[in-house]
Amino acid sequence: MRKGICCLIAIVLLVTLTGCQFKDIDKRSFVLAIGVDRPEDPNQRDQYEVTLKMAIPEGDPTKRSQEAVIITEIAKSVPEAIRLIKSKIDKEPDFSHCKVMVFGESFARDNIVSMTDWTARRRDIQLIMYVAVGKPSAKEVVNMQTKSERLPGNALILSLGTEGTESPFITTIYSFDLHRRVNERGMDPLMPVVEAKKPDMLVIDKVALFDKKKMVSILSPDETRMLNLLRTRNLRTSFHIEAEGQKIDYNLESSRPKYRIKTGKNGKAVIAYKLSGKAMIETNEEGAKMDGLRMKEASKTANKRWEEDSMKLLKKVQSLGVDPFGWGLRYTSRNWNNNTELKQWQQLYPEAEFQVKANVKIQYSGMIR
Amino acid sequence: MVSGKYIYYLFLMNALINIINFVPRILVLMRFHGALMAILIGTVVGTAILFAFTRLMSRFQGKGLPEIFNRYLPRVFSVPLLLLYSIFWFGAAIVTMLSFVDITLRFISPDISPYAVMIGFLLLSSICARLSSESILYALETILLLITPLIVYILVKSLTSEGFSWDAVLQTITYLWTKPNYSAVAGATFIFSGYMNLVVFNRNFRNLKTRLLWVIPVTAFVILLVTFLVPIGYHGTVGVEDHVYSWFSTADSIRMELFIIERVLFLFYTTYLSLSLFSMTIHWHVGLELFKGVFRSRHEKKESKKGDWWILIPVCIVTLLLMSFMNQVRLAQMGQWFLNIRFANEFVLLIALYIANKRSARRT
Amino acid sequence: MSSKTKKPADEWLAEKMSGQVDFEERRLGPGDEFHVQYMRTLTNSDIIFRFIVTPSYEMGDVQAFKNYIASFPGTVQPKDMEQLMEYVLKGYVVITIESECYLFEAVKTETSGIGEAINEAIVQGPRDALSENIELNINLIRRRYQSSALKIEMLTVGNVSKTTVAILYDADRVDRQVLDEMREKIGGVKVDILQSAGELEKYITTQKFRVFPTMVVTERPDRVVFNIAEGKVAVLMNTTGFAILAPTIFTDFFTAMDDKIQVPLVGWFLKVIRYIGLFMTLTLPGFYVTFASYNPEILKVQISLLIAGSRAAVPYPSFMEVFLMLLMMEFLTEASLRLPKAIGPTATTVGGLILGQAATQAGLVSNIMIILVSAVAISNFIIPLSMMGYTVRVIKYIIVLFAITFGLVGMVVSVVGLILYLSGMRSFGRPYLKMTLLEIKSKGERRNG
Repeated sequence: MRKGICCLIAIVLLVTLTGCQFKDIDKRSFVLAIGVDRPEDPNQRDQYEVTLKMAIPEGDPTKRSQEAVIITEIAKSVPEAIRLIKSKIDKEPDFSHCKVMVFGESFARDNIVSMTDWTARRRDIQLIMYVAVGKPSAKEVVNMQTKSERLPGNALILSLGTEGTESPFITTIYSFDLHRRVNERGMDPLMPVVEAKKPDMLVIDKVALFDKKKMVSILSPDETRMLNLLRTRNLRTSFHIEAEGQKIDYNLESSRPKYRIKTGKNGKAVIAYKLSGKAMIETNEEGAKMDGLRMKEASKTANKRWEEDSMKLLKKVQSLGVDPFGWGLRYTSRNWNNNTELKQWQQLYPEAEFQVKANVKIQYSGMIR
Repeated sequence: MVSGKYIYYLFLMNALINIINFVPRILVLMRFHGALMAILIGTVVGTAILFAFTRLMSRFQGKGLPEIFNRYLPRVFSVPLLLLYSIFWFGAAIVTMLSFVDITLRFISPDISPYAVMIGFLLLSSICARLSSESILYALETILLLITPLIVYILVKSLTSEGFSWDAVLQTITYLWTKPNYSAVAGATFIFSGYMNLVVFNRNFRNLKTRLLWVIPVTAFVILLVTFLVPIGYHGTVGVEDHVYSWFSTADSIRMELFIIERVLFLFYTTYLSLSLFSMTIHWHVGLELFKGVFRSRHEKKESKKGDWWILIPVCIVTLLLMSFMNQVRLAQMGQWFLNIRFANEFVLLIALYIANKRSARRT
Repeated sequence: MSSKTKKPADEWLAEKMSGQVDFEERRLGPGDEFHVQYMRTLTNSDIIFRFIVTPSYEMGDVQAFKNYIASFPGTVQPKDMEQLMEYVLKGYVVITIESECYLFEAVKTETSGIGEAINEAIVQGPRDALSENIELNINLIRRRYQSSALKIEMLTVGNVSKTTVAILYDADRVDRQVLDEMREKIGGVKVDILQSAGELEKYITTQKFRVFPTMVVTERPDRVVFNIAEGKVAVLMNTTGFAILAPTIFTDFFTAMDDKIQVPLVGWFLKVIRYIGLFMTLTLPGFYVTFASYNPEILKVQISLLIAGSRAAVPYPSFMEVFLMLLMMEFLTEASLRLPKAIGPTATTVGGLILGQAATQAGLVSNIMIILVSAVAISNFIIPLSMMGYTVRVIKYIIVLFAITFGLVGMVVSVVGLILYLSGMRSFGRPYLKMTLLEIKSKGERRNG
């Protein structure tokens, strides 16, 4: 019995020790998306314009939409801005559920390092947060309320991830990945671009390429798709091909990019890609029966298209001087001369040549021939 | 008396614990300066010590370190040695506690007072350290059986996730042929030191001969590679240095899409907190038993539990005092010292045991 | 049959049965010609009296009596000793006349006074419960355990009540240490009145402060038999329909007698379900407090917002809500337990309606809390033995308390502490919670089944 009393006393002591650090879930407002811009006012160009989208817990969870509170504030730094926002709202902003961070285009063109540092440093911000570039500004993107969303910011969350729509134009980048790419030698950051289209639509079909600090270019939707094809496995997409007597759309069932970095004849680096895939015909506008021979022809045309398009993209990426694919890292990881390999690559890369060997097999004609 | 398989549990606990704080930190810091080589050397050295140690301990069947030292070594040596090791084991527990309090504040509850968390840990370890060695082993078995599947799940998840970059891992491997320094090797051998708890638990083993002892080095090597390389796969060869708790950041970078908990971090935290609590309890227990051994005369056999609190309470107070001047940098330093001293200490223990063994052979 | 063995059958039997308290031996007839041996608890004394005792004195003639006994359709002559033993343990009376052996059928099949097991109801399988008469209970057990190794020792406890207590065990399988400890403890009980098995259990446990039961109190004879076969000691008591089984470890409380009947896969599934239920009922309220007040970041956004939304109208902190609802739940359980059957349903209806519907609509508790409390209650009822069920009901509050003070850390600390505590416990020298025991036992089960 004495033991029991001792235990009780200990527990009571502990209760008093912890005091009241109790903040109930309904006293917090969950920040679901953050947007960071440079203010438009030219006098404040070096300040931060922070937009928070917060979900306010409400009585009936079955109701169609929950209200979102969106507050924008300008300050010298992000924490400052958040402090200002705190004074505008009755509930404590909680960043632990922040799923999306949007960098305004103006901000991304300037310098993103301060923000990647902030997100990785703060304990409560997840490392599996999606990052994106907002166009025309992060504020517009965060402000957008699409019709389909039941949770505030859910549209952004679903479309940037792969749980909802799986578009070939969307590149999913988590914040730990961004942080890694900002620091890594021989690998550069990239982020999807989210465009706010009035009145209530978010378009995500481009990707922004960065050198270590700032955005250098935005790729077109077609280039973005090609980039994703070269970066990821099993991209879900369809392609259109036109050749003599053929006007076909095919649907990719599986795809697999592979590359090696070889040394060419004249000492130049050769980045040799191999793209393989299996596909199925989706539309056939000419109406000719799709037999094996025609499918083979179609495959040939498709391969040619892939090779041309990817070649163009690779050259463009090279001319921008960035490395979203991590070729540099691959090169250094396959070389054992640790002291010189990075310098070597820096010399090699601008001169590097590309080879692409596409091997997509259109194997099925769909439900009809 | 318990069967020989509990040695593996003691080993496994330490092997899993090593992921938490100091070992990945030193290895990551040394990743371009011979960490990989340190792992190779550490595995070889650790295995050697492991075999030598179990061999020596099996000579003293059913005896703990206090009995061996008190019996076969002159009192002038046995008392300071036991005292030293007791402090050392308490220190091991304190280091784990301090880092886990820090982790808790950082990742889980920044609002709770660190002293409250610490007192909670201390209470649990102190109360449970007084259980019999056998009970602790049984509990260890239970918790390991419950937790190992979760840890395997986290590992599989981390290796199959898309964010994992094999190129970064390979890049680190190209730094294999670099000379490691002492700290890195000391860090890499920490994984083996689970068997060191035998100094007390040997009392409960009837037969230390185990057929599958070779499993230990293999597992240890794999776990060390995972400890070292997975954070690099997630945070890059350069970025990994930024993370204070590289494995916790790694766990936070993994996502469970189809579960009510999305962030693996919390799963990881829960499993590792329970493991650390166990490790604290075991270290506390060993420290306590060794300390009691100092005061035990040569022939007294009966175990008494009366004085336990007179030892435990001062240690708890020391822990709390230590915590009051801890900060991130000092904690890291202390962890490093701990690892370094531990490695040297193992050799001292081996030598002492060897001498004791010689003397016992002469006596019979 | 007796030709083969050196010793006459009656002597052999008397020797074999020497330790059995319910073994009876009589010499009958005017000149003690007839040697009668039987198990008191298994035979019908009325039959013995009417068909053996009375005629034996009336007939007088040995040959006539021999013929008379042999004329009964149930009478057999045993082929060998094993058969003899088997029949004795079935409830036959051995009558030895001039070194010739007859087995006379006088089986007592008790049906009156045996109720159905209510507290440990099962779907299939035997329904008998122990009665409040110790002789009857021994009969029930002997009938299920027909082995000469089953030993019974009788004791009397209680200065005033003089309650008969029987210790049952299988002499070949029992752990002697446990048996001695049990004897010693029961012998050491000094009370005036002893009326129930629960009381006795309390007196013979040594631990002063205990949370978990270290002995099973059961009302099922089949469980008693099963445990005796496992080498445990059973204690029966007059005037109570419950038996005590020891040593009992943690896992024993999670086996229902159904498990043997089911297909192995189903049995295994049921066992897993029970442990999941245990985990849920212990931790759900704690987790709710953790998620609602300390670490809302653990769950997915959608779920967090759901909880937040349903809590929005609740005017007090989460732990108040949890305590309030859990208490209400306990009241409801207790109330429906004690109420007479006729009013029982009223309590549940009123409770269910008011707590379930009105409280949420009034905004006093959140919807999710209601679901949670019912889940906790239901998963608590999954535990087959009510003793453990009660303990778990209490332990849950300790975990909640830890969750209130420390959040997730408190949860982990309390669960780890619980495991350590259980591992530190001993039931008659056996470790209370040990994983390997589980493995060995399951192997044994497979062999039996």
